[in-house]
Order: sequence, then C-alpha cells, then structure tokens
Amino acid sequence: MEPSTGDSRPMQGGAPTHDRTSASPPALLIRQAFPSARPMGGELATYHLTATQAQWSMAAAAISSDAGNRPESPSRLIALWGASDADGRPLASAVYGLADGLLWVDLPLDPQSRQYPDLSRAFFFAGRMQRAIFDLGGLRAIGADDVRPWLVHARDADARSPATDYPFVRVSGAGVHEIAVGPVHAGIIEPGHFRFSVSGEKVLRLEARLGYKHKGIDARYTQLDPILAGRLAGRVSGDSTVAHAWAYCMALESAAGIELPPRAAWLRALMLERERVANHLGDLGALANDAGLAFGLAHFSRLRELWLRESDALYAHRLMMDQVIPGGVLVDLDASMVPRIGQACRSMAEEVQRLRAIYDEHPGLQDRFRGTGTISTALARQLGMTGLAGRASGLGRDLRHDHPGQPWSALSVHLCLSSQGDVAARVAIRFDELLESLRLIEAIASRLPPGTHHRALRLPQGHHCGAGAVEGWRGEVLVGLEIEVKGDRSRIVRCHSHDPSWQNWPALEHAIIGNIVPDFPLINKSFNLSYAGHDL
Amino acid sequence: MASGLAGQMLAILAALALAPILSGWVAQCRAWLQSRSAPPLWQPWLVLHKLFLREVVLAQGASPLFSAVPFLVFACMVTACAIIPTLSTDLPLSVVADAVALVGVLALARVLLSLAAMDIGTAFGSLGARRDMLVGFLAEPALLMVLFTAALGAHSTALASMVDVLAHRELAILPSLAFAGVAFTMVSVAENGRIPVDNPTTHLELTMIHEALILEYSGPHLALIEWAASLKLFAYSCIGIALFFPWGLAANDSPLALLFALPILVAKLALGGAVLAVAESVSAKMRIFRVPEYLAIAFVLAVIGVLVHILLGS
Amino acid sequence: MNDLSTVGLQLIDLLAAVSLLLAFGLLIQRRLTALIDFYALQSLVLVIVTSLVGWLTGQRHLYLSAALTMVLKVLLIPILLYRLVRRLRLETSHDTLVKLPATLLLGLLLVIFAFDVARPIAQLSTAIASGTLGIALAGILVGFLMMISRSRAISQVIAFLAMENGVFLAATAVTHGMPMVVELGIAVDVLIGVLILGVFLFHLQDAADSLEAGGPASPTARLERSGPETPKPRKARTQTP
Repeated sequence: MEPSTGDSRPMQGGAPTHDRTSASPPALLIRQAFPSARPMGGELATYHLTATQAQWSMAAAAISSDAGNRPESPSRLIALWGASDADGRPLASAVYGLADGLLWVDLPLDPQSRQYPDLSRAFFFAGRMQRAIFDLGGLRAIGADDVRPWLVHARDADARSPATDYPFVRVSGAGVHEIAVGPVHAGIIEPGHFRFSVSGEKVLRLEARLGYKHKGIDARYTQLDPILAGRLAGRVSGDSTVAHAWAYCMALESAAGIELPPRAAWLRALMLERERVANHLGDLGALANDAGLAFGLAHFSRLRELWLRESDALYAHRLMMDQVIPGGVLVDLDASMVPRIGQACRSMAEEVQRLRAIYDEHPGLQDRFRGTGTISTALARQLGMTGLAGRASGLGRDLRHDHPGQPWSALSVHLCLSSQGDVAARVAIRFDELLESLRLIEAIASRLPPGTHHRALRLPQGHHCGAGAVEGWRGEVLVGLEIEVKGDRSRIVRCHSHDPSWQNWPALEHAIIGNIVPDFPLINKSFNLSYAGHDL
Repeated sequence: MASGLAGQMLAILAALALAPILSGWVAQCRAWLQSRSAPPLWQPWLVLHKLFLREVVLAQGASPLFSAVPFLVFACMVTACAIIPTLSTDLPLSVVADAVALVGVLALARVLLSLAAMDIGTAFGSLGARRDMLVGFLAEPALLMVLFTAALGAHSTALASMVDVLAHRELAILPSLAFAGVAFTMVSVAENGRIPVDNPTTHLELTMIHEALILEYSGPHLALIEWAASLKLFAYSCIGIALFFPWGLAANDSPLALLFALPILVAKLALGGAVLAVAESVSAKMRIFRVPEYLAIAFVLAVIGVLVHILLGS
Repeated sequence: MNDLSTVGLQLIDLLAAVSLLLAFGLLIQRRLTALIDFYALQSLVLVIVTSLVGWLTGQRHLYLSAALTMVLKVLLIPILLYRLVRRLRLETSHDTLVKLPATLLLGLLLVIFAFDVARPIAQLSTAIASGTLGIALAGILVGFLMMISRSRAISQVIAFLAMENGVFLAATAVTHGMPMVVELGIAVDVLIGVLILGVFLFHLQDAADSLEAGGPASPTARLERSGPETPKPRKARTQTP
C-alpha cells in the first residue's frame, strides 16, 4: 500500500467509539485539515494519518498551543519514534493524545536527507526522543538544539565511549562541583548515570545519562511473528509486563480489526490492577526505607511477597508474564477463586490502611516527604508529565478514566489527584491508587462477564496499522504497530513500544533542582522510572 | 601502679571482644523489630574474619596516609576504651588522658578518617568528610558539656575518678544528670552514625556520612575501620553507662569484683543496645540540615545541665 | 529530716528539671500532636511533684490539687486539644517565627536569668524545695518565649498552658501550694479559657477557609471537588465552605 502524503489511510473494521460532537479544538482543527481522517478500529479511538512536513508541524503546533492555552486541556504528545515502512523508506511517527482519542501522524521522509521538522520546541521531552531516533535510525530533526547521542553510546562496537566523554552540560561558578553516580550503583538497581552539579549540599543541576540497557527492541520486533512478538512486548519492562503486553495485543487486535471478547478484557484489567498493586506496594516500602525507616520496607515487602504469591497461585507466574496474549488471555479465572481474591483484597486494604496511618503520623517520615522534589502543576504541564507522577502534580489524566473502554466504563474508575507535586503527594497518590485498585480487583472478579477468555486471532491479508494504549502503573504505555500479511506469511513491518518513563525522566531532573543531594534517592524512588522501558 | 593492671588488661580485652558483639546485638534487635529473621550475634566477627583474610586494594593515587589511617583510628579507639571505666574504676591508664583528652582522641580519629577520605580525591569521600566534620564540630562541644556536668560533681576531669564519685556517693539523684543524659544520648547517636542522623546500613551513596568516608577501603584496612567503629559505639555506650548507671563497677582489682562486674556490664550493654535498636526502628533519618538543629538542642541541654548543677549547688 | 525525705527532696528537684526539659521540648517541637503530648507529660510531672510535696509536708489539700491537675491537665485539656487539632486538620505547625537555634539560645539566656534571679529568693525561703524555684521560673520564662516565638493560635494556647504549669510548680515548691480557693479558681479559668479558644479557633479556621475558597479556584482543586468520594483521609481543604 502506497502511503500518499496528505491523505489518511482508513483503517480496518471496528466501530469508532468516539463522539464527534465533543471533539477538542485541535481534533476539530485536524479534522478540518484532514477531512478524510477516520478512526482506526480497536478499543481506543485512534486517528491515523500520513502527513506532509507542513501538516506534521501544523499538527504539533495546534496541539502544543492548545495544551498551553487551556490548562485543563488533555492534548499532549505521547510518543515519537522513527521507523521504515514496508518498502524500507524512512518514516517519522508521532502519537498525540486528544480529548476524544489518539492521533497517530506518520511523516514519510526523503530517503536521502532523512530529516523531519523538530518537535522539541513544541514538546519539551521530545528532544530526547529525537536524539534516540537519530541514534537508532539516523533520522535527524531539522533545527534541534541538542544533537548529542542518547541511547547508543558507541557507534561502532570497538569504540567504547565511557561516561566521561559525554558532553554533560557544565555549571560553572564559585564552589560548584560535580558528583558522578553510576551507572554501577551500590544497590541492585538498573544502570543509569547521574551527574549532579552541586554547591555544598544543594543541587544546581542534574543530568541523567541513560541507554545502558539498550537492546534494540524495535528492531527485534520486525524479525518476529506478530503473534509471538507479544512475548517480547511483555519483556520491555519487567515491572510493567501486563501493561506492555496488553498495549501490544490491543495494537495487534486493532490492526486485525477483531473485537476482544468482553471476558478477556475484564481478565486483562484484573491483571493490570494486580500489577499496579504489586508495584505500589514495593515502592511504598522502598520510599520509607530511603528515608531511613526500615520498618516500612519490612512490612510492605511482606505484603508484596504475599501478593506475588497470590498471583503465582492464580497464574503460575509471580509477575503474570505472558498471560496477556493476542486475542485474549492465557488462562481463565476459575469461579472458585473469586471469593479468595475478594478476601485477599479486603485484608490487603485493611493492612495498607493501617500502614498508611503510620506513614501519615510519622513525624520524621513526613518531614522528609513534604516539600521534597516538588513539581508544580504549571511545570508538570510544561514538561508533559504523565501517569502517576503527573497526577501527583495535578495533571488529571488517566486512560482508564478519560477513555473508558471495556471494562473501565462499567467500573467508574476514580481519578486520584493531588496538586502538591512533592514526594508526599506521590506517596499519597500511590496509597490512593493502591486502595482504588484493590476495590477494582474485587469488583472485576465479582462481576466478570461470561463467555470465552480467548478468541483465536486471524490476521487479515494486506497492510494494517494498529495502536494500543494502556494506563500502566507508571502511566500510559503505548504501542504503535504495522503488520503485513501475504498469504500465510505475516510479519511486523514496524512496531514501537513506548514507556511513560520517557516523559518523566526529564521531570525528575527538574524535581531535584534546589533540593539537597541526600534527598535524591528519595525523589528518584518517588518517581521510580523504568530504565529498561526507556532504553529499549 | 601495678594494682590495676589486671583490671586494665581485662577492660581492653573485653572491649575488643565485646564491641563487635554489641554491634551484632543491635543489628539482631533491629531485625527482630522489623519481623525479619536476624543474623547471628557474632556476624560482625565473621565479617571481620572475612575482611582480614582478603587483600588490600589501594585506590590510585593513595598516599601513605591512606594506609596508615586505619591503624591510627583503631589505636585511637582502643585508647578511648582503655581510659573509660568499663569494669573497674581502678585504671592505671586513666592518668594518661582525662575526659577532655578523651574527646580529643575521638576527634583525632575523626580528622584522620576525613583526611584519608579526601586523600583519594573522589566526590563521595570529600562529601562524606564534609558532612562528618559538620556533625563532629557540633557534637564535640555538647559532649564536652556533658562531661563537665559530671566533672563538676567529682571536682576532677579524670573519667575514672568522676565515675568513682558518681558510683559511691550517698544515694542521691542529680537533676543536672537528667539534662546531661538526654544531651549525651543525642550526641552518641550523632557520633556513631545511627538513625536519625546517619544510616549505617544504607547502600545509597548520596545519603551516606560515615559509609562515604570509608568507601575506598578494603580488606584488613576496612576490617580495622569497622572494628574501630564498633569500638566507638562500645566506648560511647560505656561512657553512658558509667556516668548515668554506674552501679556494679569494681572499685579495686580483686578478681571476684571484676568477675562480678563483667556480667553486669554485659547486661547493661544488652539493655542499652536493645533501646538503641528500638529508637532506630521507630525513627526515620532526618535531613542533613536538621542535624545542626538537633545538635544545637543537645548542646543547650548540656549547658542547662551545668547550670542546674550550679543552681542546686550540690 | 530523715533519709527518706532527702530522697524526696532530690526527687522533687529532679522532677522540676524534667519539667524544664519538657518545656524545652515544647519550645523546639514542631508537631502539634507532640506538643500536646509534651504538655500532658509536663502536667503529669506536676501531679507527681504536688503529691510528693503533700506527702512530705503532710498537707492533705495538696492531694486534692494533684487530683485536680490530673483530671484537668493530664486528661481533659489534652483530649480537648487533640480533638481540636484533628477537627481543624492542623497536624504540622510550621509556625516558628524565630529560627530554632536562635530560639534555643534565647531559652538558654532565660534559664541563666531565671536561675540568677531565683537564687537570693530561694535562700530566704524556708520551704522544703527552695532550689526548685529557679527551675520553675525558668520553665515559666521558656513558656513565655514559646508563646512569642509562635505564630499559630493553638501553639500559643499550649505555651500559655505550659507557663501556667510553671506557675503551679513554683507555687507548690516554694509555698506548698496556693490556697484551695485560688487553685480551684485558676483551674476553672484555664478550662474555660481552653474552651473559648477552641471555639474561637473553629471560627478563625472557618473564616480563613471561606477566604481561600472565595479566591480563584485552581482547575485541579475543582477537579478534586467534583471527583467522587474516595478513601482520601486528611486531605487539606476538603471542608466545603
């Protein structure tokens, strides 16, 4: 299929779930600019269009100005990546979030110049994505300020470029010195290098250097069968395996134009909430430990372990890896397990409430949490933050709440929100979401619709695009996918997994400014971003 | 002079042997309080054994000072333990140094460690040295004031005679010691790098104080420093016990009295260690800029202790 | 005087010192709940001192005074204050007007001053625990310092109560307690004072709240209000005006 510029490609099947009357200003604008734009199939209303360079910039400007003008606007850039289309021609892709769904813009590039208009002026965090795009595919943003390498540290295998060669931004002045931490840390955590410019104990600037876990996920996708690649998606970031796998499966199902059996969607939601609970439990313990209160770690570790064992009993895998498969889920939930799940949720909620009271009443802990690593709502909007950290800074976005497909619409997910933006707020949001997830799990388990939990996926012939977005525990996980099916051979033309950590890593660097060096581990843990999901 | 020799030797040996056990006991209590299964009591000894068997890896550009410091610090701590009346107040070595000199010996160890940390030239070493000096220069005046409160009653700055007076006076309660006791507890926590001032078990480089100082040490060097750190905790515990709970100390060198004093000391240390573990388990680490406030409180309380002593004129 | 009363005298001195220690605790503590705890503890110390003096001097009415203190200052007033703090959601009070080390140094100066002033008076006094006067005076002055170094009304109330404790301690130690009528009068006054201040604070908070809500509400605040009810305890500004 030839992508013709300025024309949108109508996607396969599926009923559009959006409501045209409540379209946001940029959506209207784009609809006027691309009259033939039609939503793709699948659970999320996703518009897909192929743009010219002017239209690419116009879309970015419209969405960025809408986000800047209306404080409550949901318009945002979600992901930006480079790929090549079925004929091997370079392509830049951006996915935006709008009030009534997602907008996926493809920009075919000139194979010689391999350049596309810069987005980092419109969207702050796009800068790093553009650097990553250059590292991975050699596509260059026209007029980008920062052209340092990002994900790939050494272009040829022999030349190792140690962190010392990387041109960090220098802060100069009397008494300013640098502290370098990582990529090897004293604890068992993922690798990343942090360069602090400090004056005394006060941090003037932090610059992170990531990419130590780069492993070529996007390229590996193209070598895999579309059905089997779901397993790779589940391994992009181990702590978000359900979210990533679901996003991939959603994309594939949207490309194939099939409707998911209701029971399968509910069972996926059950696992997604279980994953959220497990991660929040782990983080809440670690946060107390980083503030020196080992008591919190001991108890939340115990609760997390109990929770993971329960997952193991239900799914034969503690992290529920490979449970979400294209077309549904691997195992059905036995009706006899429902009372057990409800019981586990209630006792967990009780224990969490008790620990929350201890956290809230602990003067030392509250002294460390409050006012530490603050990001104001205005700054959060400017940085384009997402997910849990965004909600702690007053950005009330949650895919489960904003675009309630099945099963969320039936559950009326509560949006947990705080405008404080400090570590205490991120802790409070974790507690709120934890309790909300426990409520959801109980509701999902008791109200599971009947039917099949898996429907075999038949991929239709030809080229098909699909997108999937899931609110993982960190934020919105997005997968953009194009498949090609010829006869009985199917392949992935391009696929990109986007982790919300992309948006929030730059926010971490802002959160630490003006704080003291010993508070960094606490602030870092309050974000708890993925290295693996970011480094791809 | 030779009269107290046996007691003196026993006191030093007891300090060397018991100090790591005390650290192990605190760790054990903390583990229990967090519902974890605890490491054995002698775990610090196993760690020391392991470290002594290893070879020393020196950082690039380390000067001879860096290698000498572990021995000097260890010697300082042994000296401190030798002049603190742990088992008996009849200590021949106590004429070597009085309470003021004791504070000096402890300060010397601190300065040496900070110099060694800066010797390597890493960011963490300098960071740790700066933080440690911040804690030190605020804690030492408070410690001196606490010791002066006790010294005022005994009309002597020699630790042994101070404790002797405190232990053998008529049954009397000194209100000044209430202030001194609170101040001393606060200072000891800060000086020994315990929560809430420092976290001895942290792996987060950016938050460390004491651990950042010794990041570059390895093998027997590290073993000596770890041993010295537990000796320091032991020394502070023993000062606290000697000043505020001096009952049961042997006044002379008779074997029976010493034999009697040892289990009492162990029992008091066990109790003190358990209290420390409880205090550590229920507190979070404070921000580093709260430490000056914290130590200022300790200092003011110690001064009030002196004032109350003068007011009540006892 | 026998041995027992010597110990008793020393115990009174010690308890007075503990009371001063707690006064300093009140001076430096930021958490309101901890302030109330410290106040209750200080009152408990006062109860013990009063009973002890009563026992040593054989003045029965001091037992009554101790019982009154126990009921009023160890139990009733702290409970009232706790409810006030919970109802008004005033968990932390970052209300110190003077930096902490400066406050401490001022406190130290006040102690020196109090001790110096009390010495000649104590020598004239024939009461059993004359040394306590200086400590009690220091406690009063430290409470006074706390009162002027705090900006929040509730902290000032607690400071006032701590001062009142100091006055009682001085009276008990130096003159073996005030006449019963005076003591009862003071007790009722203090209770009424706390009650009135409680009501006053409620209205103050209401006024402040409505002032805040009258301003331009942020979109997030609006979102927060429109959201469904959730388990979100102790969120600031959830009281609807």
